[in-house]
Amino acid sequence: MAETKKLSKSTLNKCFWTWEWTYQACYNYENMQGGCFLDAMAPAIRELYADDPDEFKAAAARHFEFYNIENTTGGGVLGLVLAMEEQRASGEDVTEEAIRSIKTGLMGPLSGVGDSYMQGVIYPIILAIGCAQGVQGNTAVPIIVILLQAIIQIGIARFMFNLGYNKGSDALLDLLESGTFKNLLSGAGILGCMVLGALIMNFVSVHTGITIPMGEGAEPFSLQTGLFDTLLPGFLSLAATLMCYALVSKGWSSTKVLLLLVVIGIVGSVTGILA
Amino acid sequence: MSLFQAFLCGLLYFLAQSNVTMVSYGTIYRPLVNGFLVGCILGDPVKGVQIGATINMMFIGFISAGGSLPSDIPMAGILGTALAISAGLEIDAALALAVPLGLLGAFTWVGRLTVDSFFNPLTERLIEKNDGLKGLWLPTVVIPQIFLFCITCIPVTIAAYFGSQVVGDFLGSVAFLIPIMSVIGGLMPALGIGITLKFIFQGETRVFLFLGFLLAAYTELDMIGIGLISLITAIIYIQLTSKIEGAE
Repeated sequence: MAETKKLSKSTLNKCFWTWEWTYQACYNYENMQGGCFLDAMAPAIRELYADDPDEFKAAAARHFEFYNIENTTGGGVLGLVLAMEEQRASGEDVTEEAIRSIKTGLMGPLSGVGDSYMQGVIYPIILAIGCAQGVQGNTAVPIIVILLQAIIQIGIARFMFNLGYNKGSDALLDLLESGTFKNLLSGAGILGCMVLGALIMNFVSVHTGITIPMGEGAEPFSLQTGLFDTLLPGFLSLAATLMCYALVSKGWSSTKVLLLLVVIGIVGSVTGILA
Repeated sequence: MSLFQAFLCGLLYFLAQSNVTMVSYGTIYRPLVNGFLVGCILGDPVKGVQIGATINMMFIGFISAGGSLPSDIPMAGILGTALAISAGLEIDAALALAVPLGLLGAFTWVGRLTVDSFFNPLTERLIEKNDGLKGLWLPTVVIPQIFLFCITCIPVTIAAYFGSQVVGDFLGSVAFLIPIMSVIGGLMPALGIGITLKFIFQGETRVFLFLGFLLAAYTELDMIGIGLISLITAIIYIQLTSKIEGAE
Protein backbone atom coordinates (compact mmCIF):
# COMPACT_ATOMS: atom_id res chain seq x y z
CA MET A 1 0.00 0.00 0.00
CA ALA A 2 1.05 3.54 0.70
CA GLU A 3 4.48 4.99 1.38
CA THR A 4 5.76 5.29 4.94
CA LYS A 5 4.25 8.35 6.56
CA LYS A 6 6.13 10.28 9.22
CA LEU A 7 4.66 13.21 11.08
CA SER A 8 6.71 16.37 10.80
CA LYS A 9 8.39 17.69 13.88
CA SER A 10 6.27 20.82 13.88
CA THR A 11 3.06 18.76 13.80
CA LEU A 12 4.25 16.69 16.76
CA ASN A 13 5.02 19.85 18.66
CA LYS A 14 1.65 21.30 17.76
CA CYS A 15 -0.07 18.20 19.14
CA PHE A 16 1.96 18.28 22.35
CA TRP A 17 1.42 21.96 23.02
CA THR A 18 -2.29 21.85 22.19
CA TRP A 19 -2.59 19.12 24.80
CA GLU A 20 -0.50 21.12 27.25
CA TRP A 21 -2.55 24.30 26.82
CA THR A 22 -6.10 23.10 26.50
CA TYR A 23 -6.26 19.49 27.69
CA GLN A 24 -9.17 20.33 29.95
CA ALA A 25 -10.76 23.30 28.18
CA CYS A 26 -14.03 21.44 27.57
CA TYR A 27 -14.01 19.15 30.61
CA ASN A 28 -17.41 17.46 30.78
CA TYR A 29 -19.24 14.54 32.35
CA GLU A 30 -20.07 12.93 29.01
CA ASN A 31 -16.61 12.21 27.64
CA MET A 32 -14.36 14.13 30.09
CA GLN A 33 -11.32 15.19 28.02
CA GLY A 34 -12.57 13.56 24.80
CA GLY A 35 -13.02 16.74 22.79
CA CYS A 36 -9.72 18.15 23.91
CA PHE A 37 -7.89 14.95 23.07
CA LEU A 38 -9.35 15.13 19.56
CA ASP A 39 -8.25 18.75 19.43
CA ALA A 40 -4.69 17.71 20.30
CA MET A 41 -4.78 14.91 17.71
CA ALA A 42 -6.29 17.08 14.96
CA PRO A 43 -3.01 18.41 13.47
CA ALA A 44 -1.74 14.84 13.05
CA ILE A 45 -5.04 13.56 11.63
CA ARG A 46 -5.01 16.37 9.08
CA GLU A 47 -1.47 15.52 8.02
CA LEU A 48 -1.82 11.73 7.94
CA TYR A 49 -5.24 11.31 6.37
CA ALA A 50 -5.44 14.38 4.12
CA ASP A 51 -6.12 12.30 1.00
CA ASP A 52 -8.37 9.66 2.56
CA PRO A 53 -11.71 11.14 3.70
CA ASP A 54 -13.04 7.87 5.12
CA GLU A 55 -10.00 7.26 7.29
CA PHE A 56 -10.01 10.92 8.26
CA LYS A 57 -13.54 10.69 9.58
CA ALA A 58 -12.88 7.41 11.36
CA ALA A 59 -9.76 8.81 13.01
CA ALA A 60 -11.62 11.91 14.18
CA ALA A 61 -14.42 9.78 15.58
CA ARG A 62 -12.16 7.36 17.45
CA HIS A 63 -10.36 10.16 19.24
CA PHE A 64 -13.59 11.85 20.27
CA GLU A 65 -14.39 9.21 22.82
CA PHE A 66 -14.40 9.07 26.59
CA TYR A 67 -10.94 9.97 27.77
CA ASN A 68 -9.70 11.04 31.19
CA ILE A 69 -6.08 10.97 32.20
CA GLU A 70 -3.68 12.71 34.53
CA ASN A 71 -2.14 15.43 32.42
CA THR A 72 1.62 14.83 32.78
CA THR A 73 1.74 11.06 32.42
CA GLY A 74 -0.97 11.50 29.79
CA GLY A 75 1.70 12.96 27.52
CA GLY A 76 2.94 9.40 27.09
CA VAL A 77 -0.36 8.13 25.67
CA LEU A 78 -0.57 11.07 23.28
CA GLY A 79 2.93 10.31 21.93
CA LEU A 80 2.15 6.63 21.66
CA VAL A 81 -1.16 7.13 19.87
CA LEU A 82 0.51 9.51 17.41
CA ALA A 83 3.08 6.82 16.59
CA MET A 84 0.30 4.24 16.11
CA GLU A 85 -1.67 6.54 13.82
CA GLU A 86 1.50 7.06 11.79
CA GLN A 87 1.90 3.32 11.35
CA ARG A 88 -1.75 2.87 10.47
CA ALA A 89 -1.56 5.62 7.86
CA SER A 90 1.53 3.92 6.41
CA GLY A 91 -0.52 0.79 5.81
CA GLU A 92 0.82 -1.23 8.69
CA ASP A 93 -1.45 -3.63 10.53
CA VAL A 94 -2.64 -1.36 13.34
CA THR A 95 -6.34 -1.82 13.92
CA GLU A 96 -8.76 0.76 15.30
CA GLU A 97 -9.35 -1.64 18.15
CA ALA A 98 -5.64 -1.64 19.03
CA ILE A 99 -5.52 2.15 19.20
CA ARG A 100 -8.70 2.28 21.24
CA SER A 101 -7.56 -0.37 23.70
CA ILE A 102 -4.17 1.30 24.19
CA LYS A 103 -5.95 4.51 25.14
CA THR A 104 -8.40 2.91 27.53
CA GLY A 105 -5.84 0.42 28.83
CA LEU A 106 -3.18 2.97 29.75
CA MET A 107 -5.59 5.60 31.06
CA GLY A 108 -6.05 3.88 34.42
CA PRO A 109 -2.51 2.84 35.36
CA LEU A 110 -0.88 6.07 34.14
CA SER A 111 -3.46 8.25 35.88
CA GLY A 112 -2.99 6.22 39.04
CA VAL A 113 0.73 6.83 39.06
CA GLY A 114 0.29 10.44 37.97
CA ASP A 115 -2.40 11.31 40.53
CA SER A 116 -0.53 9.62 43.36
CA TYR A 117 2.86 11.11 42.75
CA MET A 118 2.18 14.45 41.04
CA GLN A 119 -0.76 15.48 43.19
CA GLY A 120 0.13 13.30 46.15
CA VAL A 121 3.81 14.11 46.54
CA ILE A 122 5.11 16.87 44.27
CA TYR A 123 2.25 19.38 44.64
CA PRO A 124 1.94 19.15 48.43
CA ILE A 125 5.69 19.36 49.00
CA ILE A 126 6.18 22.40 46.76
CA LEU A 127 3.08 24.13 48.12
CA ALA A 128 3.74 23.22 51.75
CA ILE A 129 7.26 24.59 51.71
CA GLY A 130 5.95 27.55 49.72
CA CYS A 131 3.22 28.28 52.29
CA ALA A 132 5.60 27.93 55.23
CA GLN A 133 7.86 30.54 53.63
CA GLY A 134 5.00 32.60 52.20
CA VAL A 135 3.36 33.43 55.53
CA GLN A 136 6.43 35.52 56.25
CA GLY A 137 5.56 37.65 53.23
CA ASN A 138 8.32 36.66 50.86
CA THR A 139 7.04 37.63 47.40
CA ALA A 140 9.70 35.56 45.60
CA VAL A 141 8.01 32.37 46.88
CA PRO A 142 4.96 32.29 44.57
CA ILE A 143 7.16 33.04 41.58
CA ILE A 144 9.50 30.17 42.46
CA VAL A 145 6.47 27.91 42.91
CA ILE A 146 5.20 28.81 39.43
CA LEU A 147 8.61 28.14 37.85
CA LEU A 148 9.13 24.85 39.69
CA GLN A 149 5.68 23.54 38.78
CA ALA A 150 6.09 24.56 35.15
CA ILE A 151 9.52 22.97 34.78
CA ILE A 152 8.57 19.75 36.55
CA GLN A 153 5.20 19.26 34.87
CA ILE A 154 6.12 20.21 31.33
CA GLY A 155 9.38 18.29 31.73
CA ILE A 156 7.65 15.07 32.79
CA ALA A 157 4.90 15.46 30.17
CA ARG A 158 7.48 15.98 27.41
CA PHE A 159 9.62 13.08 28.63
CA MET A 160 6.58 10.78 28.61
CA PHE A 161 5.48 12.11 25.20
CA ASN A 162 8.87 11.38 23.64
CA LEU A 163 9.05 7.99 25.30
CA GLY A 164 5.60 7.01 24.04
CA TYR A 165 6.23 8.30 20.53
CA ASN A 166 9.74 6.88 20.07
CA LYS A 167 9.64 3.67 22.07
CA GLY A 168 6.01 2.58 21.99
CA SER A 169 3.68 0.91 24.45
CA ASP A 170 6.20 -1.68 25.64
CA ALA A 171 8.47 1.12 26.77
CA LEU A 172 5.66 2.78 28.74
CA LEU A 173 4.70 -0.49 30.40
CA ASP A 174 8.34 -1.47 30.97
CA LEU A 175 8.89 1.90 32.59
CA LEU A 176 6.06 1.21 35.02
CA GLU A 177 7.53 -2.24 35.75
CA SER A 178 11.21 -1.34 35.91
CA GLY A 179 13.16 -1.55 39.16
CA THR A 180 14.50 1.99 38.90
CA PHE A 181 11.01 3.37 38.50
CA LYS A 182 9.69 1.33 41.40
CA ASN A 183 12.54 2.60 43.55
CA LEU A 184 11.74 6.13 42.44
CA LEU A 185 8.09 5.68 43.41
CA SER A 186 8.80 4.13 46.78
CA GLY A 187 11.34 6.88 47.44
CA ALA A 188 8.72 9.45 46.51
CA GLY A 189 6.28 7.68 48.84
CA ILE A 190 8.73 7.92 51.75
CA LEU A 191 9.49 11.56 50.99
CA GLY A 192 5.78 12.30 50.72
CA CYS A 193 4.87 10.49 53.93
CA MET A 194 7.58 12.23 55.94
CA VAL A 195 6.68 15.69 54.69
CA LEU A 196 2.98 15.02 55.28
CA GLY A 197 3.84 13.87 58.80
CA ALA A 198 5.56 17.19 59.42
CA LEU A 199 2.58 19.01 57.90
CA ILE A 200 0.24 17.37 60.39
CA MET A 201 2.27 19.02 63.13
CA ASN A 202 2.72 22.36 61.41
CA PHE A 203 -0.52 22.95 59.49
CA VAL A 204 -3.30 21.08 61.28
CA SER A 205 -4.31 22.98 64.37
CA VAL A 206 -6.58 21.32 66.89
CA HIS A 207 -6.55 22.59 70.46
CA THR A 208 -8.79 21.63 73.29
CA GLY A 209 -10.18 24.25 75.62
CA ILE A 210 -11.03 21.74 78.36
CA THR A 211 -9.84 22.72 81.81
CA ILE A 212 -10.20 20.77 85.02
CA PRO A 213 -10.92 22.83 88.14
CA MET A 214 -8.31 22.16 90.83
CA GLY A 215 -10.24 23.45 93.79
CA GLU A 216 -10.41 26.82 95.54
CA GLY A 217 -7.77 29.33 94.57
CA ALA A 218 -5.74 26.89 92.53
CA GLU A 219 -5.07 27.46 88.83
CA PRO A 220 -7.37 25.18 86.78
CA PHE A 221 -5.55 22.41 84.96
CA SER A 222 -5.62 22.98 81.18
CA LEU A 223 -5.63 19.77 79.23
CA GLN A 224 -3.97 21.50 76.27
CA THR A 225 -1.03 23.24 77.95
CA GLY A 226 -0.71 20.85 80.87
CA LEU A 227 -0.94 17.56 79.01
CA PHE A 228 -0.79 17.74 75.23
CA ASP A 229 1.69 20.59 74.75
CA THR A 230 4.17 19.21 77.26
CA LEU A 231 3.84 15.44 76.81
CA LEU A 232 2.23 14.78 73.44
CA PRO A 233 2.63 17.82 71.20
CA GLY A 234 0.39 17.65 68.14
CA PHE A 235 -1.42 14.56 69.37
CA LEU A 236 -4.88 15.93 68.60
CA SER A 237 -3.77 17.01 65.11
CA LEU A 238 -2.42 13.54 64.42
CA ALA A 239 -5.62 11.95 65.71
CA ALA A 240 -7.80 14.24 63.55
CA THR A 241 -5.73 13.48 60.45
CA LEU A 242 -5.76 9.73 60.97
CA MET A 243 -9.51 9.91 61.51
CA CYS A 244 -9.97 11.70 58.17
CA TYR A 245 -7.65 9.20 56.49
CA ALA A 246 -9.61 6.27 57.93
CA LEU A 247 -12.95 7.73 56.82
CA VAL A 248 -11.71 8.53 53.30
CA SER A 249 -10.20 5.03 53.01
CA LYS A 250 -13.48 3.55 54.17
CA GLY A 251 -15.12 5.14 51.15
CA TRP A 252 -16.56 8.33 52.62
CA SER A 253 -16.60 11.09 50.02
CA SER A 254 -14.35 14.00 50.84
CA THR A 255 -17.38 16.29 50.88
CA LYS A 256 -18.97 14.18 53.58
CA VAL A 257 -15.83 14.28 55.72
CA LEU A 258 -15.65 18.01 55.19
CA LEU A 259 -19.20 18.41 56.48
CA LEU A 260 -18.33 16.27 59.49
CA LEU A 261 -15.36 18.57 60.23
CA VAL A 262 -17.63 21.60 60.00
CA VAL A 263 -20.04 20.04 62.49
CA ILE A 264 -17.19 19.04 64.83
CA GLY A 265 -15.78 22.56 64.51
CA ILE A 266 -19.09 24.24 65.36
CA VAL A 267 -20.03 21.90 68.20
CA GLY A 268 -16.49 21.81 69.59
CA SER A 269 -16.13 25.56 69.46
CA VAL A 270 -19.53 26.34 70.98
CA THR A 271 -19.08 23.86 73.84
CA GLY A 272 -15.49 24.93 74.44
CA ILE A 273 -14.09 21.43 73.88
CA LEU A 274 -12.11 22.84 70.97
CA ALA A 275 -10.51 26.26 71.04
CA MET B 1 -11.44 48.57 45.34
CA SER B 2 -12.08 50.00 41.90
CA LEU B 3 -14.35 48.21 39.45
CA PHE B 4 -11.33 47.51 37.26
CA GLN B 5 -9.44 45.87 40.13
CA ALA B 6 -12.52 43.79 40.93
CA PHE B 7 -12.67 42.75 37.29
CA LEU B 8 -9.01 41.65 37.39
CA CYS B 9 -9.82 39.49 40.41
CA GLY B 10 -12.71 37.98 38.46
CA LEU B 11 -10.42 37.37 35.51
CA LEU B 12 -7.91 35.67 37.78
CA TYR B 13 -10.65 33.36 39.08
CA PHE B 14 -11.61 32.50 35.51
CA LEU B 15 -7.98 31.69 34.66
CA ALA B 16 -7.62 29.58 37.79
CA GLN B 17 -10.72 27.54 36.90
CA SER B 18 -10.08 27.30 33.17
CA ASN B 19 -7.18 24.84 33.31
CA VAL B 20 -5.49 26.81 30.56
CA THR B 21 -2.14 25.05 30.52
CA MET B 22 -1.78 22.02 32.72
CA VAL B 23 0.51 24.08 34.94
CA SER B 24 -2.29 26.36 36.12
CA TYR B 25 -3.81 23.70 38.39
CA GLY B 26 -0.63 23.60 40.47
CA THR B 27 -0.12 27.36 40.37
CA ILE B 28 -2.84 30.01 39.94
CA TYR B 29 -5.41 27.54 41.22
CA ARG B 30 -3.60 27.62 44.60
CA PRO B 31 -4.16 30.47 47.11
CA LEU B 32 -0.41 30.84 47.68
CA VAL B 33 -0.07 31.99 44.07
CA ASN B 34 -3.44 33.63 43.44
CA GLY B 35 -3.32 35.44 46.78
CA PHE B 36 -0.01 36.92 45.69
CA LEU B 37 -1.49 37.96 42.33
CA VAL B 38 -4.51 39.53 44.05
CA GLY B 39 -2.02 41.38 46.25
CA CYS B 40 -0.32 42.69 43.11
CA ILE B 41 -3.69 43.82 41.70
CA LEU B 42 -4.55 45.65 44.91
CA GLY B 43 -1.08 47.10 45.38
CA ASP B 44 0.00 45.04 48.40
CA PRO B 45 1.83 41.90 47.19
CA VAL B 46 3.43 41.19 50.59
CA LYS B 47 0.08 41.05 52.38
CA GLY B 48 -1.25 39.05 49.43
CA VAL B 49 1.38 36.33 49.88
CA GLN B 50 0.84 36.23 53.64
CA ILE B 51 -2.93 35.86 53.42
CA GLY B 52 -2.74 33.55 50.41
CA ALA B 53 -0.24 31.26 52.13
CA THR B 54 -2.38 31.13 55.27
CA ILE B 55 -5.50 30.26 53.27
CA ASN B 56 -3.54 27.74 51.20
CA MET B 57 -2.50 25.86 54.36
CA MET B 58 -6.16 25.00 54.93
CA PHE B 59 -6.35 23.39 51.52
CA ILE B 60 -3.03 21.60 51.58
CA GLY B 61 -3.51 18.17 50.07
CA PHE B 62 -6.89 19.01 48.55
CA ILE B 63 -6.49 17.23 45.25
CA SER B 64 -8.74 16.12 42.48
CA ALA B 65 -8.55 12.47 41.63
CA GLY B 66 -10.49 11.61 38.51
CA GLY B 67 -12.31 14.91 38.34
CA SER B 68 -14.01 15.51 41.69
CA LEU B 69 -13.22 18.22 44.19
CA PRO B 70 -14.68 18.91 47.62
CA SER B 71 -14.07 22.67 47.69
CA ASP B 72 -13.70 25.79 45.68
CA ILE B 73 -10.07 26.48 46.50
CA PRO B 74 -9.42 29.44 44.15
CA MET B 75 -12.65 31.11 45.31
CA ALA B 76 -11.36 31.01 48.90
CA GLY B 77 -7.93 32.23 47.80
CA ILE B 78 -8.94 35.01 45.44
CA LEU B 79 -12.08 36.42 47.04
CA GLY B 80 -10.73 35.77 50.55
CA THR B 81 -7.52 37.69 49.88
CA ALA B 82 -9.22 40.44 47.88
CA LEU B 83 -11.82 41.16 50.55
CA ALA B 84 -9.32 40.87 53.38
CA ILE B 85 -6.88 43.34 51.82
CA SER B 86 -9.51 45.86 50.74
CA ALA B 87 -11.22 45.81 54.13
CA GLY B 88 -7.90 45.83 56.00
CA LEU B 89 -8.68 42.61 57.88
CA GLU B 90 -6.31 40.75 60.18
CA ILE B 91 -5.13 37.29 59.12
CA ASP B 92 -7.55 35.36 61.36
CA ALA B 93 -10.52 37.37 60.12
CA ALA B 94 -9.32 36.70 56.56
CA LEU B 95 -9.29 33.00 57.35
CA ALA B 96 -12.77 33.20 58.84
CA LEU B 97 -13.86 34.67 55.52
CA ALA B 98 -12.06 32.10 53.40
CA VAL B 99 -13.51 29.06 55.18
CA PRO B 100 -17.13 29.59 54.07
CA LEU B 101 -15.98 30.75 50.63
CA GLY B 102 -14.15 27.47 50.16
CA LEU B 103 -17.10 25.55 51.57
CA LEU B 104 -19.40 27.09 48.96
CA GLY B 105 -18.21 23.97 47.30
CA ALA B 106 -17.60 22.92 43.82
CA PHE B 107 -20.54 24.68 42.19
CA THR B 108 -18.42 26.10 39.40
CA TRP B 109 -16.78 22.75 38.87
CA VAL B 110 -19.99 20.74 38.71
CA GLY B 111 -21.82 23.35 36.63
CA ARG B 112 -19.05 23.42 34.14
CA LEU B 113 -18.66 19.66 33.77
CA THR B 114 -22.42 19.41 33.25
CA VAL B 115 -22.86 22.22 30.75
CA ASP B 116 -19.71 21.41 28.75
CA SER B 117 -21.41 18.15 27.74
CA PHE B 118 -23.85 20.19 25.65
CA PHE B 119 -21.02 21.38 23.39
CA ASN B 120 -20.13 17.84 22.34
CA PRO B 121 -22.85 17.57 19.65
CA LEU B 122 -21.20 20.54 17.89
CA THR B 123 -17.96 18.57 17.72
CA GLU B 124 -19.86 15.50 16.52
CA ARG B 125 -21.35 17.56 13.72
CA LEU B 126 -17.86 18.65 12.64
CA ILE B 127 -16.73 15.03 12.55
CA GLU B 128 -19.82 14.10 10.50
CA LYS B 129 -19.20 16.95 8.08
CA ASN B 130 -15.68 15.58 7.54
CA ASP B 131 -14.34 18.84 6.23
CA GLY B 132 -10.84 18.77 7.72
CA LEU B 133 -12.23 19.43 11.23
CA LYS B 134 -12.26 23.12 10.42
CA GLY B 135 -13.13 25.24 13.42
CA LEU B 136 -12.69 22.36 15.87
CA TRP B 137 -11.33 24.71 18.49
CA LEU B 138 -14.65 26.54 18.68
CA PRO B 139 -16.63 23.75 20.42
CA THR B 140 -13.63 22.26 22.23
CA VAL B 141 -12.00 25.44 23.52
CA VAL B 142 -13.61 28.78 22.71
CA ILE B 143 -17.30 28.20 23.47
CA PRO B 144 -16.77 26.23 26.72
CA GLN B 145 -14.29 28.86 27.86
CA ILE B 146 -16.72 31.70 27.09
CA PHE B 147 -19.34 29.87 29.13
CA LEU B 148 -16.83 29.36 31.93
CA PHE B 149 -15.93 33.04 31.79
CA CYS B 150 -19.58 33.97 32.31
CA ILE B 151 -20.02 31.75 35.38
CA THR B 152 -16.67 32.65 36.96
CA CYS B 153 -15.46 36.13 36.09
CA ILE B 154 -18.79 37.95 36.34
CA PRO B 155 -19.92 36.73 39.81
CA VAL B 156 -16.48 37.14 41.36
CA THR B 157 -16.12 40.64 39.91
CA ILE B 158 -19.46 41.61 41.44
CA ALA B 159 -18.68 39.89 44.76
CA ALA B 160 -15.26 41.53 45.01
CA TYR B 161 -16.57 44.99 44.10
CA PHE B 162 -19.60 45.11 46.37
CA GLY B 163 -18.21 42.74 48.98
CA SER B 164 -15.25 44.97 49.69
CA GLN B 165 -17.63 47.77 50.71
CA VAL B 166 -19.61 45.73 53.21
CA VAL B 167 -17.30 42.95 54.44
CA GLY B 168 -15.86 44.97 57.31
CA ASP B 169 -19.28 45.84 58.76
CA PHE B 170 -20.58 42.37 58.06
CA LEU B 171 -17.74 40.63 59.91
CA GLY B 172 -18.20 43.09 62.74
CA SER B 173 -21.80 41.99 63.17
CA VAL B 174 -20.98 38.29 63.09
CA ALA B 175 -17.78 38.49 65.12
CA PHE B 176 -18.87 35.50 67.23
CA LEU B 177 -18.42 33.32 64.13
CA ILE B 178 -14.71 34.10 63.80
CA PRO B 179 -13.47 31.66 66.49
CA ILE B 180 -15.72 28.92 65.08
CA MET B 181 -14.33 29.49 61.61
CA SER B 182 -10.80 29.41 62.93
CA VAL B 183 -11.43 26.02 64.60
CA ILE B 184 -12.85 24.67 61.32
CA GLY B 185 -9.94 26.20 59.41
CA GLY B 186 -7.53 24.44 61.73
CA LEU B 187 -9.24 21.09 61.15
CA MET B 188 -9.40 21.32 57.37
CA PRO B 189 -5.77 20.43 56.59
CA ALA B 190 -6.43 17.14 58.40
CA LEU B 191 -8.84 16.23 55.60
CA GLY B 192 -6.46 17.32 52.81
CA ILE B 193 -3.59 15.36 54.33
CA GLY B 194 -5.94 12.41 54.87
CA ILE B 195 -6.97 12.45 51.19
CA THR B 196 -3.35 12.55 50.07
CA LEU B 197 -2.39 9.78 52.48
CA LYS B 198 -4.93 7.54 50.78
CA PHE B 199 -2.59 7.55 47.78
CA ILE B 200 0.81 7.15 49.39
CA PHE B 201 0.34 5.81 52.94
CA GLN B 202 1.02 2.17 52.14
CA GLY B 203 3.23 -0.72 53.16
CA GLU B 204 6.68 -0.03 54.46
CA THR B 205 6.47 3.71 53.90
CA ARG B 206 3.84 4.14 56.63
CA VAL B 207 6.32 4.46 59.46
CA PHE B 208 7.91 7.49 57.81
CA LEU B 209 4.75 9.51 58.37
CA PHE B 210 5.38 9.27 62.09
CA LEU B 211 9.07 10.04 61.68
CA GLY B 212 8.17 13.27 59.87
CA PHE B 213 5.57 14.09 62.49
CA LEU B 214 7.99 13.56 65.38
CA LEU B 215 10.72 15.60 63.67
CA ALA B 216 8.31 18.51 63.41
CA ALA B 217 6.92 17.99 66.92
CA TYR B 218 10.21 17.74 68.81
CA THR B 219 12.68 19.84 66.79
CA GLU B 220 12.77 23.41 65.62
CA LEU B 221 13.44 22.43 61.99
CA ASP B 222 11.52 24.40 59.35
CA MET B 223 9.78 22.86 56.32
CA ILE B 224 12.79 23.19 54.04
CA GLY B 225 14.99 21.41 56.56
CA ILE B 226 12.47 18.63 57.06
CA GLY B 227 11.99 18.34 53.30
CA LEU B 228 15.71 17.85 52.74
CA ILE B 229 16.08 15.36 55.59
CA SER B 230 13.11 13.45 54.15
CA LEU B 231 14.80 13.36 50.76
CA ILE B 232 18.02 11.95 52.23
CA THR B 233 16.04 9.43 54.30
CA ALA B 234 14.27 8.22 51.16
CA ILE B 235 17.60 7.84 49.33
CA ILE B 236 19.20 5.91 52.20
CA TYR B 237 16.18 3.61 52.42
CA ILE B 238 16.25 2.86 48.68
CA GLN B 239 20.01 2.24 48.74
CA LEU B 240 19.70 -0.18 51.64
CA THR B 241 16.71 -2.08 50.27
CA SER B 242 18.22 -2.46 46.80
CA LYS B 243 21.43 -3.80 48.41
CA ILE B 244 19.44 -6.38 50.34
CA GLU B 245 17.53 -7.39 47.23
CA GLY B 246 20.82 -7.64 45.30
CA ALA B 247 22.34 -9.90 47.97
CA GLU B 248 19.42 -12.33 47.93
